[in-house]
Amino acid sequence: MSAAAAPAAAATVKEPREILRVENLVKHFPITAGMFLSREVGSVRAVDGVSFELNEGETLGLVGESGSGKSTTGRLVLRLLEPTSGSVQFDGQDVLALEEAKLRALRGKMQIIFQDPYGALNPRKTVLETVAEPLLIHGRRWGPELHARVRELLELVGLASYHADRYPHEFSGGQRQRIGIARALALNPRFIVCDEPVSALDVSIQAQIVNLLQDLQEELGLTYLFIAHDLGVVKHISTRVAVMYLGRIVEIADKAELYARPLHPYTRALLSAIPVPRPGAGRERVILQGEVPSPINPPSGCHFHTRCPFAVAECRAVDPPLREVAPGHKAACHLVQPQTAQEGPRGP
Amino acid sequence: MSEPLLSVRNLKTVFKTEDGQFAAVDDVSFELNEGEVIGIVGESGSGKSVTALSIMGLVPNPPGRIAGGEIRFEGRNLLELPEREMRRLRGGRMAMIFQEPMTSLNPVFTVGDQLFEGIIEHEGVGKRAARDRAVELLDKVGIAAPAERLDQYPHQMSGGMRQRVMIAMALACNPKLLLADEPTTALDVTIQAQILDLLRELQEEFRMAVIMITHNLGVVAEFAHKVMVMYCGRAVETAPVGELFERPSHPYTQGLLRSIPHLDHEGARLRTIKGTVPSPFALPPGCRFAARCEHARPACAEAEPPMIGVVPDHEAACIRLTGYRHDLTRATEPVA
Amino acid sequence: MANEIVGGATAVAPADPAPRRRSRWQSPVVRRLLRHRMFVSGAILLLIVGLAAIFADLLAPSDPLKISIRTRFEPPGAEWLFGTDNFGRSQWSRVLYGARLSLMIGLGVVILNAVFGTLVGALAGYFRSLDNLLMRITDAFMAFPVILLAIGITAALGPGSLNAVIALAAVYTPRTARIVRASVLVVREMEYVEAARAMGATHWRIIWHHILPNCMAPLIVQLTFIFAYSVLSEAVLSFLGLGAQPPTPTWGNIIAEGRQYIREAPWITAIPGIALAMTVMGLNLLGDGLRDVLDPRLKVQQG
Repeated sequence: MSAAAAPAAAATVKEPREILRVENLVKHFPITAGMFLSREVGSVRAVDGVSFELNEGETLGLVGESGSGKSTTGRLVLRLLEPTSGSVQFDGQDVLALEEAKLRALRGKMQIIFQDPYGALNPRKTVLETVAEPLLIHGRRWGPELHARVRELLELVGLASYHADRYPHEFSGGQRQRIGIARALALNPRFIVCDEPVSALDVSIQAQIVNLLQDLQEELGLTYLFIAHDLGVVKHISTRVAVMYLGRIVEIADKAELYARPLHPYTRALLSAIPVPRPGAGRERVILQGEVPSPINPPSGCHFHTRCPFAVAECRAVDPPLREVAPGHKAACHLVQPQTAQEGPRGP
Repeated sequence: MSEPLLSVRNLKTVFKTEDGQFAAVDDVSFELNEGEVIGIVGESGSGKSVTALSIMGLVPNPPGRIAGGEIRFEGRNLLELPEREMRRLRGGRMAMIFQEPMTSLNPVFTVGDQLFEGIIEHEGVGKRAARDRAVELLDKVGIAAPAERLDQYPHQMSGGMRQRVMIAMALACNPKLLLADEPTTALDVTIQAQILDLLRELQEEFRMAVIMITHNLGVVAEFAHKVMVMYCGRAVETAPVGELFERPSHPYTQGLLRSIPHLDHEGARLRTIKGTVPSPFALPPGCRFAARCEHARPACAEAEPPMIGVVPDHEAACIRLTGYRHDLTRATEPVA
Repeated sequence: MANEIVGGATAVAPADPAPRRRSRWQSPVVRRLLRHRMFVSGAILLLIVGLAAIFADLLAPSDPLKISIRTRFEPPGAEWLFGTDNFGRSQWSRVLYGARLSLMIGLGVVILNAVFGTLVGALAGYFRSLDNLLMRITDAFMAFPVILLAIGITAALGPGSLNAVIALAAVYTPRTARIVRASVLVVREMEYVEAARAMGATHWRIIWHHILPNCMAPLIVQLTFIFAYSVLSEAVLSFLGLGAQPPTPTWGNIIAEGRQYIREAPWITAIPGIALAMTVMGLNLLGDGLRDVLDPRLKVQQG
């Protein structure tokens, strides 16, 4: 029994078709003071001019440390947060210009999977109610058809249909994550923001969920924006990877290219910081000094210059643009010129 | 060979809850020499943190209780020491750092106040000497402008900075044994690298023995000398670190190693361990991993497998190793 | 209904036990409540008072309003279980019928309070733009001592049990609203609320389906206390002549009428007083028990 589950997308993907275009996205959270007449005393520049595009069936990995603005970016794209400025085009529609009702209708097509499998499910709703909810919101009525659809979704994500009657607390973290995925798939979305979907799971469960996400992508022709801080997982699942630092994308490239030839000093540091499960690997490690500065008053010029081992005067003054240094490989660093792109920046 | 610094024998720690009693740590044994680092690896519910709390004598009672075994530290059985003696040891000869430094620091006192407390109590020096020592310690853990930092409150510091303060507090009395419970899990990768580097430096400088508790096999590979893998309260494999990664012998260890997507991992699909960790109240008979094991056979459900030697210092609790001596030329799969 | 669906499911290799039917009585919350001594004793006390009120006409055959000069000031005994009052009316009947009205007033206050407190609290907590305005209004209400404000309102509306209900509801609503707002502020940040927004759920649906059900625990606890306070305050209002009007009995006005004869016939005031104390104590025990069991800070995280 297969109801119309998958859009026939997977079959038709030949020519890469752009599904999402994000341009110069900015989100400033105002910091206010005062009780009655609150006035703005500053702002957290969570996302500070982010642009990227995504082709159908592709996975863009978005990596960064806490405070990099990666999760905020995911929410801005879905307009779960209102951007301060910028534009988001989803399948030719200007998402930010949509009025409330139209936006609601579009929500089924762009979904989100959350990090915390405990917080993402309403503890007072059964699995059936949780997975059926998006369908109910979008006009379906309770009945045998709806039950069948929920059952189908549960089986799609590797749960059994008798799970439908249970409450979230009866499930393990990995199973809850599956429930969240089933809910996100209910309305046949084409694009899913995966916000650290495996970070809160145990190692042996992570792989199960990563595999599930990959299978679903293949089967349903999904496009992912995969947000994570674990570069290993991102490397595994992504087709392209973008690295964020303090609200900006500092480097974006095809996966193989980025991991083989990281150009931005931050990307290099990030890659070298990961402990490798191979004793005596003895790699050259770039240990960054200091910590990520506050996004309330980010450093002038290149946001990374305060920690960059290669920073020169120009970095403090001028904000480097994200420019193409090799085909499909963009980096935002003054020291990475298209001609030097082979080596990347060298120490002074 | 002289007696090891720490020797844990058949440790059993039980918790009593509304749903019944279960053993969070069940018959765990290991030894640690001076200046040696052991990594205890496991997933949530494996009992790795409770093992550390048991050694520190910090198991919350109730609901927890050490139900059996022996923990010998510097020749004394800690389980027989009166609480007063234990308190002297904690923060003195042995110290512990935790995953979330914010919850282990008291938010209403300055960092300095909290540092002085330990120093004054354990070293019996005056306030002025304690302050000097505190400045020295903060400097040691890589905190810039230590004298000013002393007067700050924990919330004025970042996570990495707080973890450094926690390490400084742990070092205050030159401990011989440091227990680190997921010390870098809450931190970003670049900060994690800083903290691990710091810990390694300090460990070498002070010749501390360290118990590093983590779920991250990468951290273990880079930091530990030997490893104990835990599953559902039991140790399933112990080995020197190189040996473990080269020749993982318990199917659980093998599964763990295979399921992590590393940076140098290629290939379309990750290999997974099927199923989930069983509830501690409904442990299967026999081997606790059998239900998830791809090599399981009927005999696995009959009795809990004992630790069986693979090569000297390398043991695993899997019946497939019975009567088996490892052919040292072969790499991974112990049984064809 | 959901069970049929499960029954017809295709077999998916189940690693865990097959579907089972769970009744609410087996839920851990109910189990813990039934094991909670305070909760159970509170519930028993309330059950006694409640049943007495419901079956007042069966238990008390004589009319609570029937005056008889010959039987004035009869002490409690075999003939008159709770004695008689200054008009010779059966105290047994009056206390039982009084229980009806007292409890109904309490219930009325609780219902109004639950509706408006939840409404104001949810609006203030969910729509941040309304928060400041609504909370300043509740602050203004809360600046007055409870009973003074209740007296003021009933005095303005005129005495009577309905007005007492309105006055008490008005007095307690801001307190409930504060409690609801506090939990809404926590729950609205949960990811399942964001998930609902991501599905295109309306604000109304989010509040009703996702936020309020998860704010119920503190609200229920609060309402048991409000119930207790209103029964007590209603007695005060009736005592002052601002509540239900004689000859209709409520515990408050029985006590008020009896106070002149407290030396000669102390049972007139003592018996409704004991009933009142029992009810309030029962509700407080119930509330404490619910708080112990429902309060997430005391709940052991499972899973």
